[in-house]
Amino acid sequence: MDFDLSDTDLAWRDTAREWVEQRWPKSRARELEASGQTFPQELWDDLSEAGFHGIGIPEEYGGQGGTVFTQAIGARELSRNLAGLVATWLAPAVGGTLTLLAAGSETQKRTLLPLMARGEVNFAIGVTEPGGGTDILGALRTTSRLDGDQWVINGQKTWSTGAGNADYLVVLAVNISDEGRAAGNNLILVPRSTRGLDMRHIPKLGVRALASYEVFLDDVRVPVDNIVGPRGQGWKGIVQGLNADKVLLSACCTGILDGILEDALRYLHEREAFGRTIEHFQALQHKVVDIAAWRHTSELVAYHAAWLMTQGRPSASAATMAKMITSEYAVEAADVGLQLLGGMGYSAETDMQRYWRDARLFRIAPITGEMSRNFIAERLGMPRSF
Amino acid sequence: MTAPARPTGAWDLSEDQLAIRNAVDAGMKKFPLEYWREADRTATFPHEFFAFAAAQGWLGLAMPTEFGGSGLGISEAVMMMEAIARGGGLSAASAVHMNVFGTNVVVKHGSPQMRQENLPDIVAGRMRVAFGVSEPDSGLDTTSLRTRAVRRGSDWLVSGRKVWISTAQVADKILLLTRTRDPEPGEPKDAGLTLFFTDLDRRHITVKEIEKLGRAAVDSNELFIDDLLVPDRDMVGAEGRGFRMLLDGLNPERLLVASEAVGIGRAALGLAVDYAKERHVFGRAIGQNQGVQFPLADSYARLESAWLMILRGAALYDQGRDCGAEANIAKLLGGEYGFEAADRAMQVLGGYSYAKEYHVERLWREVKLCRLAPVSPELILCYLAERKLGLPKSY
Repeated sequence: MDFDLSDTDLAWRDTAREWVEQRWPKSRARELEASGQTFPQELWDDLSEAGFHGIGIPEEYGGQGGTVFTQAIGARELSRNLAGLVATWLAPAVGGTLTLLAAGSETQKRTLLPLMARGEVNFAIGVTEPGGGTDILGALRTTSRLDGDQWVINGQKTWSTGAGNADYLVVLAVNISDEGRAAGNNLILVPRSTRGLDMRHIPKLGVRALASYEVFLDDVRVPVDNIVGPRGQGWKGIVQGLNADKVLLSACCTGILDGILEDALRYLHEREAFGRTIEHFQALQHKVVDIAAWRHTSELVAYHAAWLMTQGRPSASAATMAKMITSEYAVEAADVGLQLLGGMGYSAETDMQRYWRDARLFRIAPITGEMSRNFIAERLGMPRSF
Repeated sequence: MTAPARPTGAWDLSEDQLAIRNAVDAGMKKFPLEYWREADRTATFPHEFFAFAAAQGWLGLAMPTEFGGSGLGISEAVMMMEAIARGGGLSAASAVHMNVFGTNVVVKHGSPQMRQENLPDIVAGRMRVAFGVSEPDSGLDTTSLRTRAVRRGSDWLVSGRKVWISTAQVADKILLLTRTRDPEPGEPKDAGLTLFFTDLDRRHITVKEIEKLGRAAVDSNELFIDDLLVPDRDMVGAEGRGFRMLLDGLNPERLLVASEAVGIGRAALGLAVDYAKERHVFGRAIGQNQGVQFPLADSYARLESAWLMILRGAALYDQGRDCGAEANIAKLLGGEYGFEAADRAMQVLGGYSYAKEYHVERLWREVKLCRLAPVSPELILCYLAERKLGLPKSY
C-alpha cells in the first residue's frame, strides 16, 4: 500500500494552501459571508485568475487537466478558509464541467469548456424539485417537449445554487415523447436570460454569499441543440457528477476539520482562565484530540474514495460512506469547537460558527446521512427499508 | 374507561402552573414563528411582544405583589419561560428573561427606596435592565474581573469593560459588578466585589453590539465604561459583598434557561413531527420510517426527563431548600437534549431545514446558546464531580 501523495500532488497542495492563505484568509471569507452579497464575484474572479476553473478540464478543451483527486486536494485546502463558499468553485465544476465531459456533444465541449476554464461562463444545476430531495427521479415533474427546433420546458426547481449568476442552468426534465408520453428524461442547458425563466432567492442558514434559488420555468424555449446527451437519457449525464460531488464534499469536510482544529488549538493556547491557559485542562485536550482523530479518519476516507474514482473502480459505496462519515465528523467537530471557544464561538467575529453552519449542510445535501445509510444497507444485502 | 386512581404524591402540576401555561400558549399565538423569523432577519428587538408580555403581567410573574407583580415562584416562572420559548424560541425568551428574574437581587438586597423607584417600572415593562457581570477575560472565573469602582467623594467612579451584555442597546439601567477593593490577605477572592444598580449612562458607557450566530433580535454587547459616576445610593447591599448576593440568583437562572432550552427543543420537535407526517417520499410519509421516528421519540423522552428535573429543582428552590445539583443537572440536560432535538429536527426536514422559511434553523442556532450560557456543560460536570461525587477540583 502506498499512502503518499505524488510530488505533483504535493506541489499542488502547497500551491493551493498558499493561494488561499494569501488571497482568502478566514477573515475575508467571514466578511464576505456577512456582506449580504448573493454571489461572491470577487472570489469567482480570483479563482478564474488563478486558473481553478480549468482544473479537471482536459488540456484539449483549454483546461489544465487533472482528476477528481486533484480537485479533492484543492477542495480540502480551500475549504480550510472558505468552508462552504468553496462551492463557488465546485458547484459549476461538478454540475457544468463534469456533466459536459460525461455527456456533452463535441461542439458543446469545444465551445463551453474553454470559456469555463477561464471563468468566463458559469453553470448552476437545476435538478432537485420541491417535492423530492433524494428521490430525484420519483419527484421529477418538470417536463420538456420538442416543438420544431426548440425544447419547451415547464416546471419548477429548487436549491439551484448560484442560479442567480449562472450563464446556464443545467435542467433535468421529464422527456415528453412525440406521442405525448413520458419517456425518460432530458438534460438541457437553459441560458439564464431565457424568457419564461424566473427565480426566487432562498435565504439559508449557511453559505449565504452564494445564494440558492427556487427556479420557475414557464414555457421556456431553448434551441434543440442545447440538450446534453441523448434524448431520454439525461440522467446518465449527472450520475457521474453526483458521485464526484460526494467525493469532493468529503474533501471539503476534511478541509473544514483542518480549519476547526487549528482554530481550536490556537484558542486553547491563548485563552487564560483560573490562572493558566485552558490548554492545560484534560477534558479540553481530549476534545481537541477527538477533532484531530476525526480529521485523520476523514482525510483517509476522502482520499481513498477519490483514488478509487480516478482509478475507474467502483466507488459509489466508498463515496457515499466518505460523505456520510466526514460530514458527521465535521459538524461534530465544529460543535465541539464552538463549545471550546464558548462565548467567543457564538460571536460572528470568529470562524467556528461559520464552520458549524456551513458543515451542517453536508449532513443534508446532496443526500442525507439517513438516506446514505439506506443506500449502503441495501448494498450490504439487507432489504430496502423505505 | 375509568382513569386510574392517582397515587399520592404524584407530581401533578398545580392549578397556577396549568393556568400559566394555557395563558402563555394562547398569548404566543399572537406572535407566530413568522414574527420571530422577521425579528431575527432584521435584528430588531420585539417591542410589540415585550409590551404584550408586560400587559399580560408576565414580566412581574415572580415579583412581589407590593411592586405590582404576581408574587409567584420559580415553579411558575419555568412554566411561563418554557411556553414562551416553545412559542417563539430564544428570541422571545431572552426579550423578557431579564425582567422576569434578573433583578431578583434588587428585590432581596436593594434599599427600600431603590425597590420602590424601580421594581414597579420593571414589572410594567417601562424599564429594561442589563446584567453587567461578564468581562472579556473572566467568563465563569468571575472573581478575576477588572472593572474598578473608585471612591469620588460620596460617589464612585467606574471604569472597565464588560462583554456579552444582553439588551444593552435598549436597556435603561444596568446591574454592574465592580471591584471596589482588593481582597485582604486571608479573604476569599470575591471579597471587594461590589454590585451597583445604576443608570446605563451612554455618555460614559459605549455600547458596541456583537454580531453573533443566533438570537439577533435580542442584542448582545461589549461595554466600554469610562469614568461612569455612580452615586452611593445605587449600591446593592453591602460594599464588597456583591458576588455572594448574585450567587443566590444563579440556581433559578439555570432553571429558567433549562426551561427555555426544553421549550425550544419541543418547538423543533413539533415542527419535525408535523413534517414527518405530511411529507411523502417513496410512496409513504417519511415518519413511517424507523430511522425517522426513533430519533424523534427518543428526543421526546429526553426532553421529558429534563423537564422533570427542572420542575424538581424549581420546587426545591421555592421551598427554600438547596437545589444546586438539581438546577445544574436541569441546565445540563435541558441544553443538551434541547439542542439534540433541534439537530434531529434539522435532519428530518432535510434540505428545507437549511432554508430560513422553515424556522428550524433559527431554533437550532438559538438553542446552541443555552448550551454555552450561563454556564457550560463542562463546568457543570466539574461541579457535579466535586459536590456530588467528592472528586478533587480539576481546574
